[in-house]
Amino acid sequence: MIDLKDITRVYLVGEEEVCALDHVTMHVYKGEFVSVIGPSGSGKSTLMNVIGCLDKADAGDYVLDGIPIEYYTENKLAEVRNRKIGFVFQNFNLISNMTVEENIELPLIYRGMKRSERVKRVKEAVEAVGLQTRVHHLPTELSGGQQQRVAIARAIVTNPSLILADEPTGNLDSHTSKDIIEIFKKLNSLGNTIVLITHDPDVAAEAKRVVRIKDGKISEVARQ
Amino acid sequence: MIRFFDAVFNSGVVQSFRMAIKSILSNKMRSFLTMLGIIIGVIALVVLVSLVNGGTSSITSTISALGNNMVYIQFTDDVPKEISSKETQDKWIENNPSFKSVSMEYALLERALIDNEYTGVMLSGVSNDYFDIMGKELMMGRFLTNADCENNSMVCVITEKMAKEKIGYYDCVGEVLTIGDFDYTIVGVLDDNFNSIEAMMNWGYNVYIPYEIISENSISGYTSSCTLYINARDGYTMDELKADVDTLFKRDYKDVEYEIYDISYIEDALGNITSVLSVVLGAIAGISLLVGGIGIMNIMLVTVTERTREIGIRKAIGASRGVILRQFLFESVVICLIGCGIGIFASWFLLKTGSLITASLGVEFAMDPTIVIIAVTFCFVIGILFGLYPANKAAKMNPIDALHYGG
Repeated sequence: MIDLKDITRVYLVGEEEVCALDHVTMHVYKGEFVSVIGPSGSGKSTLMNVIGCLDKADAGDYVLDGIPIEYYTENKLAEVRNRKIGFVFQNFNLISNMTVEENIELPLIYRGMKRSERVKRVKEAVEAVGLQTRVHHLPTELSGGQQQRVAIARAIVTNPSLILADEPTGNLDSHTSKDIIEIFKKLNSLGNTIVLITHDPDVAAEAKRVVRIKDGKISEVARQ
Repeated sequence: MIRFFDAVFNSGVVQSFRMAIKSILSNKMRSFLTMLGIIIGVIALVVLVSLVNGGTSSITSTISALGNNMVYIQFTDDVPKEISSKETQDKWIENNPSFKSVSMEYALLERALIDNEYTGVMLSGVSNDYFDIMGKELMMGRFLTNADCENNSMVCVITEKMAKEKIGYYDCVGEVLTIGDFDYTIVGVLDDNFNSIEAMMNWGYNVYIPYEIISENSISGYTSSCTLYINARDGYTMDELKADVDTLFKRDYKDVEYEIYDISYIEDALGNITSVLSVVLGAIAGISLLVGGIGIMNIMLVTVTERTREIGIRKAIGASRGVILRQFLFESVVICLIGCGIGIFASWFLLKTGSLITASLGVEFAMDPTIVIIAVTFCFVIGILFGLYPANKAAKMNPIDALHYGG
């Protein structure tokens, strides 16, 4: 599913070169639930950007679902993001002047899907996260946990190959965090591939496999 | 067909349009202020051009009311006796079905003696048909009659202005007027129609007497002009009349130098002036529209910066550059077109109100459909032109930077 080989990403901070990812090699198989854990500055955000096709590696090979990503143009990457990846962010990243329903529908609009099909898919996604009563609300009218559910619904509505969650519980209290993690677990049990990035060991421990990243290098910790 | 609409609907054009409307509505005050530049520009454009057109059409209709079925022939040299004789003219009318009536006007500057004082008047020798051809109207008394002209009666018809300013009162029918060496009895006073272009162009102190009095008595004033007026019979066009006149003169009066005119010359000249005026005023209004466009670009740049995060989100979930570009381009075009619509409506209102005020003068300002189309097109082009740079800036954003903008 995800095949990272010798991925290197170097940033230029002033005069100094910072190696955010240093020859990272990593595999994620279909149906896996992997968490990536590391302190801030460890390169985990960069890893997520590369996996999520938001950023390109300076060196190394990345094959996502059989597609060699490094040859893709920006517009092609946008299409890959739309079809293959569902993002869940720490700060939810919902569009504030659109309702829950419209936020969830948006990726399908970008895919150019028929309206009838869109309505069906949105309904399914909303049911999966249990937000049926809130579809016509604006994101600002919802609690943090509810907003994150909307974000998850938006991520799964496209039926992506990979759900990529970046600190999805970072802005939530422990009780709500648990609910969100449960949703991820449920999605995983339904066959979704999930990569969860976090700095919280408790959250990371919920995944089937934990990958630790530090100073741009990764080491596998545990397989459950 | 259904497939076509389906494609349009699903291509996201409709969605982009809806998003644009939503974004405009979510910031009503700002959107309105931005539109104001366009609204004022459109009002300036539509109202100014419509005012010029309205004024022009009222003037041209006055001109054509005066003589849209008449030609006049001016002679460079003296007119041969043959042309000016009633018999010849009657024969022309007989042979040319397009001729309705014919009249000479031999006009010269003479001095009249009124209250023991000399004063300049324009003395015109005309036939009885002259008044009909020129569309004259009476204030009091009568026109010259056929009998007056056949008998060379010493009678005259004067203008309203002449009566009022030279004689001192309107009711002067029956009085005797001394002009040059002769006395004439006033039989009629004309109604000076100040709407008519002729009244504007004329000096106004005119005295009309039977044509042959001038030639019989060899009256010669200081300056003189000789003009032949012919009007068209109903059902004949001006071009047919002119062609007939030209044929007649070329065949029968080869040696006479003449020039044929009609009122359309004046209309053409006026049309040239007003179309130049329209273009100049339109260009000035166009500049104010451009300024409005710059305002739109300014606010769109602010909007793009404000919504950087949103652009990042959209890109992350799969919006291509083209989709982002279209969304912001639509927004600026929609702002421009809404502004344009409001401007056109306001112009229509202003012109209607203006027409109420000027209705008594017989001037009406109608909104010209052409200028409405021009205004809409221009606004559309401005929306695209000034929306392109901000929209492109949004489209080119790096998704990672955009997502992390402002925390």
